[in-house]
Amino acid sequence: MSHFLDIQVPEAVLDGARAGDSAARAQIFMALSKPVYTLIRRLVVRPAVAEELLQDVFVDILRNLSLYRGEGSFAGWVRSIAVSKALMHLRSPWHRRLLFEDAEGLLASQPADSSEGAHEWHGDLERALNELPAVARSIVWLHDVEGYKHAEIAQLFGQSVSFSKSQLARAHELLRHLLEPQTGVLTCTPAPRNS
Amino acid sequence: MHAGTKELIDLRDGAPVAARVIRHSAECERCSTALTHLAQTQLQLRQLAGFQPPQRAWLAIEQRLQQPQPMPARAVGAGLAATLIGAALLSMLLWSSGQWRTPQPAGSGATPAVDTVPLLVARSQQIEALLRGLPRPAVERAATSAAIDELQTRIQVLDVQLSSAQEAGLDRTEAQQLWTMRVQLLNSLLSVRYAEQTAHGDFLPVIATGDI
Repeated sequence: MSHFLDIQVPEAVLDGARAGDSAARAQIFMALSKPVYTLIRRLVVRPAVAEELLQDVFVDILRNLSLYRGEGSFAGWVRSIAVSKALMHLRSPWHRRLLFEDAEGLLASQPADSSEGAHEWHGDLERALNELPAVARSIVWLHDVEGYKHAEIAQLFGQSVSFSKSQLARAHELLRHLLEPQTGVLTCTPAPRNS
Repeated sequence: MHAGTKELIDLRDGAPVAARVIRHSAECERCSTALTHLAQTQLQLRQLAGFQPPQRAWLAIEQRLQQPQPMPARAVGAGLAATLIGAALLSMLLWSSGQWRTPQPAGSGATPAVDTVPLLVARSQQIEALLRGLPRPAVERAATSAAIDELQTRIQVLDVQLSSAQEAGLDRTEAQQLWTMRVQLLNSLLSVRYAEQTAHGDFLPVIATGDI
């Protein structure tokens, strides 16, 4: 599960930001920019677009703080706006084509804080994830990592729960194919019993 | 018969699945391997490192925050946009103050007789499809762009409300009102985009945009 919803922003900081205090605004950015940027990068992939969306999200959040009335977690509210912005981008055909322009660069890109000792599968999974179609990738990330329910995803996409389930299944099938191309040869044989 | 990926994901997530799927997955090597792989993949996805945002991002955000929010006054289509946004905001205000809620006849309960949400969702999708089909001009007027941005932000705020409708305990009437506002905002956005296109002299098809 992502740690998005664990992030707490003190009420005093929110009040300061609402009053236009630059330090309070910066504190909100510091607390939430990494999970927001990571979420956007997972959905839209392309770094330049993700950076633009990151700016849009924070400009919107900081200009519309009065709309957050303390119902539910602040980080959850921020996450909803980030998801909405990223999905709106994915729905825009004049931007969507950009996703495919620098695919090779994307495949080589790694998270900035990948440590040297990171497991080999990190890189393989990164590449496989980036190769998924945008909708399937978004749904697998929202469901498996961010913990969104199928009903919530269906609403975000203006589709049915069945659509969300199908896309998630498709994403996993593609991921498995990309990570283990030989899986197609498995046969239905009885599993060994422990007893 | 093997379990499908959807069934295996439900099994992994602890969602209700048929007893035969549980039995089969325990006995079939292929299905139990697939189930293990699904669980491993989810774990590994959660363990992927995060991305550090570019350092320049906060500077750019601060600069944008210091700029006054552009007023759609001069550009072609901006007047229309302001009117439409005003109408949309008024609707939102009325809704949030409760004045717009349709009084229910005594004894009828809070649930409307006809559920128009599916129609409104379909209408939203239609308008979104129309919007997707409209090309963006190479050069965009700042005021029109700001109006479009404003409308998109309002739609996003509504989307947030709609996505958390269950948690917020919204009933069908309230959900219907939110969807009605969404359709109105999308109609407004479509009108602004048409105005934008007209200002650039582009040919536009005549499309009915009437409300439900």
